[in-house]
Amino acid sequence: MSILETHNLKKYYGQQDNLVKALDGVSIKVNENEFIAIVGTSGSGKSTLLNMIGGLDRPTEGNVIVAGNDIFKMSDEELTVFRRRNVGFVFQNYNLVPILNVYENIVLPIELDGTKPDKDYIDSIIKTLGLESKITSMPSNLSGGQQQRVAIARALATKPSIILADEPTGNLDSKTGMDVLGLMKLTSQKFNQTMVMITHNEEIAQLADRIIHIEDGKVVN
Amino acid sequence: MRLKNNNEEVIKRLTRKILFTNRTRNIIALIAIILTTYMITTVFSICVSFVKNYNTLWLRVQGTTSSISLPNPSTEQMDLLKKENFKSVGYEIYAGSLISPELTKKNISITLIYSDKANFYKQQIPAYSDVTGHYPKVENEIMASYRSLEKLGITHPKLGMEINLKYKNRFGEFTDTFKLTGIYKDYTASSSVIYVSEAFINKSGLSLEQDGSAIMAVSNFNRDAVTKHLTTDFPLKENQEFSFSYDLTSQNTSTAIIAAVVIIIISLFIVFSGYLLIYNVLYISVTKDIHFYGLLKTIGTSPKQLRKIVRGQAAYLAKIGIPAGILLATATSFVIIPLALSSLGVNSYGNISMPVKIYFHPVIYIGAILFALLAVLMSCKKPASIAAKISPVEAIRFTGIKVKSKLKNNRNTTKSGKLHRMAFFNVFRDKKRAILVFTSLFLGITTYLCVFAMLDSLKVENFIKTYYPNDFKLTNLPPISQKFDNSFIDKIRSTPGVKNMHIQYITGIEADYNEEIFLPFINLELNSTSSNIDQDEKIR
Repeated sequence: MSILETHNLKKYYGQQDNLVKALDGVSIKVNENEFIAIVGTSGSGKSTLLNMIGGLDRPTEGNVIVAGNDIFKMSDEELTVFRRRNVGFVFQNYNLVPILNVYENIVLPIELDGTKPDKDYIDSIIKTLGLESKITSMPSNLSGGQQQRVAIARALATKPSIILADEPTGNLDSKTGMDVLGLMKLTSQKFNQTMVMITHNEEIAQLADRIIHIEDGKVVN
Repeated sequence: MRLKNNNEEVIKRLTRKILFTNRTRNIIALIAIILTTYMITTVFSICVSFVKNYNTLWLRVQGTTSSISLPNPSTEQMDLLKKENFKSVGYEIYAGSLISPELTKKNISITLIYSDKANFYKQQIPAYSDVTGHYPKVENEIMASYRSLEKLGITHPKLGMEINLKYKNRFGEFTDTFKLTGIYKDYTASSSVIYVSEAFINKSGLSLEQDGSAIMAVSNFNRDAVTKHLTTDFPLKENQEFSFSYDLTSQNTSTAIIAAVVIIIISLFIVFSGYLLIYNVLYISVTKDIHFYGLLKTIGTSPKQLRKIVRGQAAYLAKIGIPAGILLATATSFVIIPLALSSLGVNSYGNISMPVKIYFHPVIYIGAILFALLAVLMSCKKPASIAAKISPVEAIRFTGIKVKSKLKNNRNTTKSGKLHRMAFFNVFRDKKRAILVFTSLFLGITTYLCVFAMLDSLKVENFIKTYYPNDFKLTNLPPISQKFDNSFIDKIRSTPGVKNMHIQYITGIEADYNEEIFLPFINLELNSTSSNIDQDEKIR
């Protein structure tokens, strides 16, 4: 059963001479519990595709169906709420809130929703990611790897059905990268989550169930 | 479908955290809010004080709050009057007038009057000031104004001093020694009174019905209705008539209304300027933090929540800024209000100068808080929606620079690398901001210049220049035969220092009365001047 579908997704920037076709008709299907890797060279449209799937950006044409919902038919307000409850995003540049400490960052999406965090669950994530000693630290005091782990913890905290990761190991050294990846695969299997990850590292791509190649805004086989 | 939940806690926390990381912005925003509140409060204070002082001035000129009188009322009529819709009902009893050679020579009259409590305290006292002592109680006690005493030759009156007075009433002429138990300051140019006690009236055999008048004060709102009612329904004796003197009071209210309208317009102007100022500060602050708001949105902060965060910051600053502005304005009002009132030019009528008393009325503070809040709330609407509508992707990738700006056509110059040129083009890069800044500056400078020009022009010199362009006036009054002949005129003209001379010729004519032509002018004249002549007299 497909939990995620895109139909003829297009994203164009500019006009006429300056027209940039970031996505030029992308249609994909992702099933529940799958681990998908999206691969492509820089400028191929990978990040744009991921942003579309996550509802962070609106397409010029086409639609995205997540768990049966056409997300771009929702209002800005509804979409934001939907996203924070159902999608966990891990960014390449972590995107932690600099004025909150580690723990506050992790539970932020939950608190924005107004629900109480599941303390045990959160603690188990923190433990799994090895962040116990750093819960009250500020992001600026953490190394790249630690920050990325916080970002992952945040993505996992709301128990989303889909996790989207944009080059999660791009800023990490190879060992840390492998550790993080192992963790992500572990948790997604443990909690029955679907994972879509962008990478241009062939090694990492091999870990996925399926690889989707993107080139010049289109899916290639 | 959103659950009503306790996500307010986290929003409040985020708001506070962002607030405290933005110190410079906070200080500037605070100054803006304080300034706006300060100006609004000051303007309101000046308005309230002005209106109240102006009212006092007119009251003093009038000499009384009353405007209707009925001579020789019977007891039944007094009872009826008390049931009517008046602001106050009192009475006066004429007890005699002073006889003295000095007074007669100066053509001055001083009347002895008894005032009942209602008349004295509700109708007369408001028009007096510097009251000392008490109203006469015992037969030989009197109360007089400084002016009356001066006319009698007493320049340094003291309470308790004894004064000999010769007076006459309908029973004859009398001389008595009186004790001064009360002194006050009055302002009317008309003849003065000396108050006597009820005991004195009884001893003299005078009464309300024979020698007195009922005196009533009516409020402006139902004045016309009451007048109509009195003239048609009230039972009057033979030859008895109500006497109305409204003209002065109506002028007073319309001036006050005009003053109020002007002040409200100025306040709205200030609110608008304050709005622009605060809007500017918040706008710049939001665009600086747009990266942050975009990040929050990415994580899942809904547009509504982002709006709350922006508004929350503004509200917090307002909570500090508005009270501070009010306090500051109150503190400086002791200096500013007298200055403003005296420079507004309308500070005297004849010899009477407008009092400069500072009034604190709740209206000032409620109005200031409302208007200032209005300015703050209005000015965070747009910045809040900028934060709310931000596209997360744009915000994360870029730092505040609008992606939407269409690429300009090539600029056919290679010299724009120079700093001053870059600076110039940068001003207009964000068109909306440029317009905003220019509008603010324009409004601010214009208001400043206008207010100063207006205040500066309210000088006595300007008044004189307009209404009294001449320094001297030589008139040959009839019936003295004309002394101004040509040689005389030339002598005047050639006097050193004489810059300009105009000659005015006057003669009289006798015209046959033509009702068609003359009556409208007569009516105009009679209706415009304040007079106590009643309608019949006028027509006659």
